[in-house]
Amino acid sequence: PLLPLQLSFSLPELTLSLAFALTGQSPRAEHPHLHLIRHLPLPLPIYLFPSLQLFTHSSLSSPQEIALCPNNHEVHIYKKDGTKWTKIHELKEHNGQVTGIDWAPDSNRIVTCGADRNAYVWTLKEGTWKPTLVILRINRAARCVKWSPRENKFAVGSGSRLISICYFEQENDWWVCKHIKKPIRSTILSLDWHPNNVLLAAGSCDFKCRVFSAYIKEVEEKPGPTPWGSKMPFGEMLFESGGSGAAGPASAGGGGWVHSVCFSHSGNRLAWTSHDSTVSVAEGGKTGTVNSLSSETLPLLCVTFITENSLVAAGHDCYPVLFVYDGAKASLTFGGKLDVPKQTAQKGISARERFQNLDRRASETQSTEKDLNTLHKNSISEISVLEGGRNQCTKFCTTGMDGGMGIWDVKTLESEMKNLKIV
Amino acid sequence: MVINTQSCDGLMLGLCDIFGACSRYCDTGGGLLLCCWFLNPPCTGNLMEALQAVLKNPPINTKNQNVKDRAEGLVLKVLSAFKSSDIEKGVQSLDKNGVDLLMKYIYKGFERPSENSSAVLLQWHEKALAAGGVGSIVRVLTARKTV
Repeated sequence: PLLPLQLSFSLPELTLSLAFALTGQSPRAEHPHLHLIRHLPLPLPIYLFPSLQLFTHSSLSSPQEIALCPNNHEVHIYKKDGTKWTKIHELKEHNGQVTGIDWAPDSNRIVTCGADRNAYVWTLKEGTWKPTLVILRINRAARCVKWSPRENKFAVGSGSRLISICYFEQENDWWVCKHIKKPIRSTILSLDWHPNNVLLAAGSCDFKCRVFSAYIKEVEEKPGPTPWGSKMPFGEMLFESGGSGAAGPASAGGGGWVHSVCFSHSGNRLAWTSHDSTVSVAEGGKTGTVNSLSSETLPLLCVTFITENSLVAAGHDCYPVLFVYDGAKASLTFGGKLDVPKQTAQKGISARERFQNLDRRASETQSTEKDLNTLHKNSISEISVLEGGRNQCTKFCTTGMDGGMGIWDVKTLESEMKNLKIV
Repeated sequence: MVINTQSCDGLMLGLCDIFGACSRYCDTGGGLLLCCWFLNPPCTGNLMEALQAVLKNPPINTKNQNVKDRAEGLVLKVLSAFKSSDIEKGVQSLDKNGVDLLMKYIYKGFERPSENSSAVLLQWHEKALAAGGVGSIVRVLTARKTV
């Protein structure tokens, strides 16, 4: 059967036809020649983009715009018109695959980093985005990039086993960078800034999640003490996971690549997901105990706080999952699966269809358990809060390797799923 | 080393021949505590204890391959002694870490199949998977220190 994405490549305005409105109740027909265009009833809107790889959005501003990388050297910017997305800009400067995009909403700048070991800061001048090169002084591909909360610096993680903290030097009119190297032993996969603009969490392929200080005296005053520590010279490591915190013989010395890290809204809690199918939370000041949950799912690739106590994570299982952290008991528990597949009405199968299925799938039934009945058809790689911030999120967005972007409404989820409590 | 002197229906308890050798290979960090039974027509009450005991203190930290092999052999013996109908109860008596550890041994056992070890291990695998989910298998794959 034709994959929906194949359809998208043949039509230029494709995203228009594949965007769906929120609808209700009709069950999704499981016809082998399903064309998503004709069948509406996904419970939540999913927008499909051609081979979307990376995504970031300019939040809070309207009209809503997103920047994404269609798995190549370029960055495309789409704008929302009603329910349609139209491409308005193409940012072409990188010589290698773009691996990270971040959009600073207040100063309206985009930073991109790529496998060509460069980063560019894009500013909108006279209706077009103009790039400024930032020399990162790395000799391996850049992997992820994040603006700091006050947007006066950004951090780039790379395969060079270091983090580049870049800030703008007024006198030379030039972006300058400083490196955090010790004790990172492998590629940095993910970064997240603490709300105080100084602390930075980094997840790495050396199985550890760390908190560093990225204090740059040229652009900011000394930060006040936080639960993570009070002395914060540049490059100081204030926390490292996987030390004495591992619990139990099964996880001792284990762990996997840390795919994603996220500070809570207050910055006092840090969550990360790891390739050994665990999700962990550490609290500043109580860093002796790290609370991990070994999940029963495939590894989770992205995580975000939606309230101070609740996390939503998603990954190779293609659906978002809720976790609840109880600070008093210092425990992390599974809160529920967040994708509600509408039950398909099992219609009578005609003899012809039976034979067709037998021929095609070697089984007589329409859908086997292996069919994904989740919204995303492939791993979810990024999750971000759209509205409400990380303490009272009302909407979040997931993007996946199927090229789809799904927008999830927290209230709708709470009402649709019994026993789901977001605390 | 704990020597349990109970006996039950032909279940003989005794020192395993390797115990003597094991005490020499004990890792200072981990230690190997083995409760050894000679397993005869099974008495299931003790089998549950056998399972718990054999999964305690696994030789994860040692680099001595001999110790690891002996431990694996023992685990396999215990697993094979279970009746098919009791496997599920056995798995349920384990906590999360226990299930992960069991999965590790199961896959270790798959690596070197003997006569009917795979059949037995597959039954255990099915029950352990139901309890631990694919996450437990992922943890077998990503674990840096193996049993």
